Amino acid sequence: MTALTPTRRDLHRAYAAQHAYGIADWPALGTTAQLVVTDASALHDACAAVEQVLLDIDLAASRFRPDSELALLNAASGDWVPVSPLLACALRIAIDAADWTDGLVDPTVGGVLVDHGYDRTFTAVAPDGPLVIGIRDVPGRAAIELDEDTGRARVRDGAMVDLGATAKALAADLASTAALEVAGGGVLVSLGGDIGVGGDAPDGGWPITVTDRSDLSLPADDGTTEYVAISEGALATSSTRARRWRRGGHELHHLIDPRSGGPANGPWRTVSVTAKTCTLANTASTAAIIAGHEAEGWLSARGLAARLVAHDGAVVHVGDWPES
Amino acid sequence: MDATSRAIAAAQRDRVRRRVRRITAVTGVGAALGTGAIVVALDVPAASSAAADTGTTVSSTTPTTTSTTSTTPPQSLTSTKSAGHVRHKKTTQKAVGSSSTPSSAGTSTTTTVTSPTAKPTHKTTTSTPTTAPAVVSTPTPVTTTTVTTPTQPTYTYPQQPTGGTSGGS
Repeated sequence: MTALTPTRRDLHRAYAAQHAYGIADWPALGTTAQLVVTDASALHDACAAVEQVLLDIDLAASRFRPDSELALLNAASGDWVPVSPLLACALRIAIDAADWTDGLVDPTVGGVLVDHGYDRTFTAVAPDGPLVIGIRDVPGRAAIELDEDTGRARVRDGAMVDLGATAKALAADLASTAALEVAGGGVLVSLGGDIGVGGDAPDGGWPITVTDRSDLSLPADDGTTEYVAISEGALATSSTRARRWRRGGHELHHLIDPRSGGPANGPWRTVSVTAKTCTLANTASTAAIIAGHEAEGWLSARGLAARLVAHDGAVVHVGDWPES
Repeated sequence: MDATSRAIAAAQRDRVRRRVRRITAVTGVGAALGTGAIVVALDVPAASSAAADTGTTVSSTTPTTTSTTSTTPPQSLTSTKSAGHVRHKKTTQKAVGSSSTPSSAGTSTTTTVTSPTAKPTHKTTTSTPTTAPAVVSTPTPVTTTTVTTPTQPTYTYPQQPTGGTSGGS
């Protein structure tokens, strides 16, 4: 017998095997989608339902594919552009997120991300490069106008919308709903670590590994993990340890502080939040990273449960965080 | 655009509208649509009037149309989309060999599960006799089959297995 270090994927498959659940994971939206259904016979149909959601979101809201609705909107030089109901919903949520977080989570950081070198799907971003000189200002959510009555939107000329955070979370919410409709029973959908559960949860809830990075190929326990269980709603995590690259010798990451135009550099490296939906949980976890020293108070004031990890690994829990 | 293309496009629009209705019902963002209310998918109070998130989830009953048939559950599944259709390419792995349920007593549990990837390999060797028999006849091939079962790796988990990982991505 050969002793091996299991990966998180192994851990999740072992869990599914123990309970005779169906489980699958596959690359999607520049990350990994994972689906667990308590009725294993419904796995294939549920996968198809989830996959369709992800395809729809990608075609509507991807910043990286030139044929997406969002890419066409960003390239319209400020002209009004017809938008599908799905993109309109994604834009509305992004605008609401900006308002709700007082601009901490801003969908108009797309241009700044491009300036920093994150101008293509992350796996294609050069891991190193020359020093970045000249970062444009973040125009703010007022640069987006959405007319839901006529189904059109426009983005101020020169601004660029990035729906990376909220659209992925929206996709996780949509996907868990779609999977539950098809599969019944209980479902868990994870999209790059944004986890939504629905239906009848297993006894004791769905056990979840909470950690810095969601990569399923990493060792199951890398020393940063915590184990919790949720029976409903969602759990999302934002981390400065994910999607990192270097320019001019400086480490950069994808969580942009719109106030400075640079990567967030507060005391927290990772924040996880439980909430009714992934959309809310991810918005809050992202806002907390950017809020920095104000994060605990910001989360508490909104009645949210969260786990915050400092750069030295110290963990702080806020609100009614699930028990380990 | 011919009639078929128009029909496909119409079906696509209808499906997207249904899905948006579902998510707005689930998230509560429906109340915000068109009103400018500052609630993100959230029936969450503003900071000044915070209350605990009670986690009530509203489910939807709007049906989804899928055309995929299921045989055995896939371990991984990839899809490509072409002309409005989704094609799924399924990769099936062998089932997990065995697993043991961890003890619920104590604070430290260990679970051992054998690898799902190990699969017996079949090696077939066919040889033909090289010495001609005294009596002329059609030589009969001699076939031997060797079945080798590779060593099963053992995974030792630090905790009870979990269903998902929440981390940054």
